[in-house]
Amino acid sequence: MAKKMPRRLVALSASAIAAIYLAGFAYTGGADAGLASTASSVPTTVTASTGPSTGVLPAPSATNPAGPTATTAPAGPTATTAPAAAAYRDGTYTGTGTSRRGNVSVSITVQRGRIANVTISGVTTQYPVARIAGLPAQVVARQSGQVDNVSGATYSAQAFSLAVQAALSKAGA
Amino acid sequence: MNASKSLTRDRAPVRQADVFERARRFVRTPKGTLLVVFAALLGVAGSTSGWSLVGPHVLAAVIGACLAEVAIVGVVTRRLAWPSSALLSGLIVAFILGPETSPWVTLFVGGLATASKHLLRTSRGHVFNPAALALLVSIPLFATGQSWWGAGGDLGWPFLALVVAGGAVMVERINKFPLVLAFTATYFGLFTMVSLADPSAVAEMFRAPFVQAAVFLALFMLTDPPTSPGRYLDQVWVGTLAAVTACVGQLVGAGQAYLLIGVLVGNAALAVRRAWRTTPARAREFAR
Repeated sequence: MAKKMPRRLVALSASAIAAIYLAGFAYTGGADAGLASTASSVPTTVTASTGPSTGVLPAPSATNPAGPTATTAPAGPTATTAPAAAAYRDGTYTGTGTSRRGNVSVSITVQRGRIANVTISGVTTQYPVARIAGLPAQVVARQSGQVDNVSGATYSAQAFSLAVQAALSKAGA
Repeated sequence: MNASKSLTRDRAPVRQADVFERARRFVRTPKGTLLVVFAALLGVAGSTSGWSLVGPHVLAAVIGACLAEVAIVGVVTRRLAWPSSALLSGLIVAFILGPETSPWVTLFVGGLATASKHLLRTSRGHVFNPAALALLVSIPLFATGQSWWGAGGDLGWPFLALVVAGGAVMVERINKFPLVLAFTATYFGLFTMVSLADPSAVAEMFRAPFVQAAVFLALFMLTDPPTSPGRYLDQVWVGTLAAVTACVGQLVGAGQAYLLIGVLVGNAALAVRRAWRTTPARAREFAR
């Protein structure tokens, strides 16, 4: 076993690393605040793209500045991004959404032209699946892939939303 | 009769003292020290997260790991042994897996961690960090979520201080400071450099829960004695390689697996290096 590293050298090295960390922390402070405000002001919106996310969060929406609470669940299909429910073909469709923190896979069952059931079939994001467990119900209620952002699991919610969009595109949306 | 009673009275204190002495000796070993540190982390993180959620989760992971150890060692050596390593692997699995994970999945992942230790090994011991390998495999197998709750991913900065203090005691005991310092310096250095070009791409890496996860991994997983180097020079390059791999993995979108991939690549590189060292010189000449 090698001789132990002197404690003074350990302390000096640890201080240098702490300085590097603090530099990064401070330099990314603005970006983090921007990400946080974007995440809290924009519901997870469905985009047409089903490819990998570049890691850039959606641009702030001028129509929904008040955050997720402004997008209360509509009773029927949304008029913004959701296509008419009748446009879906009956069957079971799968889709995968990608985010900077991993993927979410979903399985969607369409019956009589409406989304009858949504199941999260796989999650490889940083956060537990429990954090986005309420999103499938939102998709069924809204008949759309437009779901609220989940505080603390932004990327998982984004990936889920993209996965739903991918599956719905197969259903003929 | 009286003599028998007196013997019984004399034996009891002797046994008790023996047990205390054994416990004291165990706590002084690296495994014992780590168990005490983990018990402290579990006590705080468990109380904060809620024992009704965390208790069954931890039990499932520990039972899975220990049962697998007892079964495998029992079959191979036909004797029973105290599964102290498996206990620690089970705790690490429990700390990283989200506590909402199905207990059966947690049980299986704990068992898988121990099994991997016996399946993937060389004459020097196991190759990969058991918990890291099992957790990585569990992602495609069970779509598990990894919250690193035991590392304080959801707790405040004071808990990180507890993790660092406990980890420093442990790292000092096993003489792995160069490994930890090389990893953390490279990890935060690379992310700081990337932030100069694109701050939003790595802003989260400097914040909870990612900082806590990286620190926990560096202090308690990367330093696993059988899978980490002893020589200082080896510690530096293994730590650097693990950090570079983790950073690249994160930047290319490896999701939650990026830290685990980092530590496992470091383990694999060290195993190759050790094999190369033990290969006779003539065989190496022939290979060239």
